[in-house]
Amino acid sequence: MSKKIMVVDDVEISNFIMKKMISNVSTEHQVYDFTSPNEALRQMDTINPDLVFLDLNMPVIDGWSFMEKMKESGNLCPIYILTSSTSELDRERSKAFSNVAGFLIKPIPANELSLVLS
Amino acid sequence: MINQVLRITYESFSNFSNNLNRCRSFEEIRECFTVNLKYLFNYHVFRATYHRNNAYVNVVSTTNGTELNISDKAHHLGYEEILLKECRPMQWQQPDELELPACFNLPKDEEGVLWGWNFISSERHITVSVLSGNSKSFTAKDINFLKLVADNLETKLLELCLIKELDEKNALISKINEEQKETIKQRTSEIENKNKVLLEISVLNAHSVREPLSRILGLINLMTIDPALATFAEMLPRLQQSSKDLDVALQNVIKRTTADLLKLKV
Repeated sequence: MSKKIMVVDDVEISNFIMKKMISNVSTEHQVYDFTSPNEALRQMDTINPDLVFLDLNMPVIDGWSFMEKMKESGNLCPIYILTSSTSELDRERSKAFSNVAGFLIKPIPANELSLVLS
Repeated sequence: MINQVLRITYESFSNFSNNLNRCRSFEEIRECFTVNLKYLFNYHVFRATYHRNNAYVNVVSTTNGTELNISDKAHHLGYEEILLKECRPMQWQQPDELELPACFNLPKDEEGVLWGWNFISSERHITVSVLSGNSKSFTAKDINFLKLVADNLETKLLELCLIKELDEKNALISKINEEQKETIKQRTSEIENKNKVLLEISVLNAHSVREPLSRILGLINLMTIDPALATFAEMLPRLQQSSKDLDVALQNVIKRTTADLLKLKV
């Protein structure tokens, strides 16, 4: 089943990798990638994604602030945190957000991504 | 008549003893001696010196009142040095030949006699002396009361000296406690600062270093999964960029951690 997927990471290369990995799972999925978290927030209602892959470490608005803003606007779209951080502190902190569906470490293995998208 | 005199003397001593027992400070002892001592026996000057550890107490009672001084140094008069040396009761028929302070000066035509005793135990020394004269004669019959006064005074001075020592020790303990609290506070603050720096280094490692590395691994993954997913032209510049980012991140971490660790003297 086709899904609308939002990928938010300030580094273009990371978004490139995710887009390729998602297309490897299924070309039917629609991927909307953003290197600007602010722009992603503005487009959130228009795109109305089924799920969001979100990086944590970003300038201007980091992943935590991004989730706070979604919470403030009442958007409970499932979020998969996609981070290079292996820190348990980040994993623990993410539990404070009820719509965080998973905590994924980059690079995400193909089979794990298939499972998420299924 | 004798019974009446004894009763009066007994009552006077009872009053003195009770008042002395109630004393809770050296100042109260001074007041007690000023009020009560003159009813026990006659004297122009009553003087007692007491010594325990590093506390030296002098009590001097005259018709003008009583003075009580505490010092950490001995202030014995010349005849008291002799008493301490001789360790026996002594009497001086010509006290004006001794070098005595002004309070020992007697009215003209008054023939003074100076009596002195030295009571020594293992931990304390007390000397007692009485300057009497024609108008205020001290006799051998008064010695028993004087010894009782000395015993009572010594007991009370011992009690107050012990309280003083206890207060000093408590003050010392409080001071040590305060110093320890301050030291613990400083150490805690140092540990908190170290933990903060270590956390920052940990965050730096988790995000800055691993981020470009995870991109390199991700790009390699793409090639492994299906070489057709991305062209060589798409992959190469991204691998180059990620490798450069990794190098910069590592250099930053090394620079930062070295500076922080040097600052923390780890």
